[in-house]
Amino acid sequence: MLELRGLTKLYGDFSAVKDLNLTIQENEFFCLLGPSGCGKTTTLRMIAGFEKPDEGNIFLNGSDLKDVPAHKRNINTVFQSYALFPHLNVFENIAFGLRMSHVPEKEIQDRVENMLKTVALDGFAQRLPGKLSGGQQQRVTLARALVNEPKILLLDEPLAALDEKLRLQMQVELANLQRKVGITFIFITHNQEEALTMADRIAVMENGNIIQIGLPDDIYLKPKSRFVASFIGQMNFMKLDTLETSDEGVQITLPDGHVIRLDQSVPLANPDELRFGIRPEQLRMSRTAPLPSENGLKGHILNEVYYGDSSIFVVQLENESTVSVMHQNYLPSGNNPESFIEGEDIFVCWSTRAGCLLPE
Amino acid sequence: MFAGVRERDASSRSDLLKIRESQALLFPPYFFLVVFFVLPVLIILSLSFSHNRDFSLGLTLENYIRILDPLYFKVLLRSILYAVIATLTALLIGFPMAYFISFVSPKWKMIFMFLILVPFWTNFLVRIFAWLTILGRQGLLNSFLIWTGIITEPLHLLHSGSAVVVGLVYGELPFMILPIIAALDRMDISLLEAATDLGASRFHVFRRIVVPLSIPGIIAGAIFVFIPALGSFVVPDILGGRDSFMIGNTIKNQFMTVRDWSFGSALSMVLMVAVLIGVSAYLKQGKEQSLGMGEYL
Repeated sequence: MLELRGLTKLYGDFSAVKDLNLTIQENEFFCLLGPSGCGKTTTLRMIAGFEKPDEGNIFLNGSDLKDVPAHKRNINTVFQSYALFPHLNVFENIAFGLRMSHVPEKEIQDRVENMLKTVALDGFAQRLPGKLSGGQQQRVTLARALVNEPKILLLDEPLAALDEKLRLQMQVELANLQRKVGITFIFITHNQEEALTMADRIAVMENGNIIQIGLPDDIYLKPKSRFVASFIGQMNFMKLDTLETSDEGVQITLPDGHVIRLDQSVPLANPDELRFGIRPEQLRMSRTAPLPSENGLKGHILNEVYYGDSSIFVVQLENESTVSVMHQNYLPSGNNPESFIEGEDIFVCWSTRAGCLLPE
Repeated sequence: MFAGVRERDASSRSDLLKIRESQALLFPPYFFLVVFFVLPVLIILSLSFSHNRDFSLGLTLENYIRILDPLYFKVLLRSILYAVIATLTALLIGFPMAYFISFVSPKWKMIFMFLILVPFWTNFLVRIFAWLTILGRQGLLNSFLIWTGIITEPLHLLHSGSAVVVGLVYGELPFMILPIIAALDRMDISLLEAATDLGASRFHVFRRIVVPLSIPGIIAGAIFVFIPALGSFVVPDILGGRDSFMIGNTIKNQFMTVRDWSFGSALSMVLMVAVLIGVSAYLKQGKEQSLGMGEYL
């Protein structure tokens, strides 16, 4: 179990990490997600021991890591730039950590060879890193860290340098590998998709602190702030005029006078400080009036962005604001879905149970 | 339609012209090499096979046979020994300096690099003369040692082999430091962090990562120091004595004093071939050990 308590790191006047508290369980695949400059790399470097926190402590299984130098921590890192030793071959790169801890030669042979099999690189032992492809280098870096059987593996945007296809493949492989080796993974990324596909839990960071922490679907479906909502996936936002609680939930009056329902219990707050948020896939377009269980707003289609499996339609509402609506282009039943064309006047409809109220 | 064809024709013609132009750009360097390198070497080569500048007596090997005379052969061996010692000493002093400089902040790095280059603003001869005042009987070093009480009688430092080596190291040190800095600068800092992360202490990071990765720089620096040191004649002239003159002095004497240009040329050729063989063997060995050395030479 890794605990970060009140962790703070200053660079001059700028605080890269501010009073950060976090507990990561054993064998967890934990993801720190945030835009560049949010302090996620600094946090990782403090855990690794490359940076000293200005305040706060890091505990690994209850013992303080304050006076443990980086080379004595039972934590290994996978670097974004891979940082493979260019003068050593694949075998020696992977064996480096074992040699440093004076593991007997026979055992080094066995462990490195096992590791090479695990990352599907057997036969590459004698190659120099410069002669490997990006994906292969990536796997050597992983093997080099994992062969030491660390308590925690830190991964600093390891997939950022790979091309799209390889990245998707590595996401699956990484998640499988983590389950297989049973080591705590702390993964940092600015890519929401990577976080959602791989992590057991996600912490979203902004300005040196964690603003939301939870399971991937929690973060996606119940974002706590506008920042989280728009960082993970896409979300449409609407301004509020008034807010009234009713038996089932709330009634919201939009600035143009339209009333929409949200059948959720929400904490009362000043409507000026709130926004109604709804994701494009929660909206549908219709030529007929909305169902009784739905909200509906009139609008006309400005344009369509075609993605193959689906399209995003940009719809201008009567109050001049625009929303993005996702539309499936193919139905599993084989029937053709209703098709819409640019310029058409339609209703944008959504279930009264969908959507959320977020602080501005 | 025809206009289009004509246009394409014209453009391919201008492409050809461009290629010819770019080939023309290569002319000055070739010209320079031929006039200032190939021709002089050919002249020296032909001189070395002549009876002291007189080709009418035909070709001869007498100049080369003369070099085997122990008198000259000893000087050649001594020169190689001095150059090797100077190179190793320059490496021992230069590597820590380069290591230090490559890890200070960019601002300080500029200052240190500048300081390394400042001595070049003064004439080399003058700077070597300055060493007379340091190493002399009543020089700075002796005065200091007597003042501290380590010695009571001044040491005999000047006009010796060690004074020559000191002068050579002093003169060539920047050529050792600069390529090593270049090699260390190219090294990715995250490699050092990765090694630390994998459990390497500072010593092991240095020994297993920093040193192997700076080998290209060390090889380049060693060559830059060794070659001028081997042919040096100014330093042994001023700081050396009767028993510490080098092959450079002998060659200079053949040309300037004895006026035996043929023998001087033969000595030069032997020196050149020796350097060529030595350096290519060294480079070959270096290539087996490390990568991408060409970028430093």
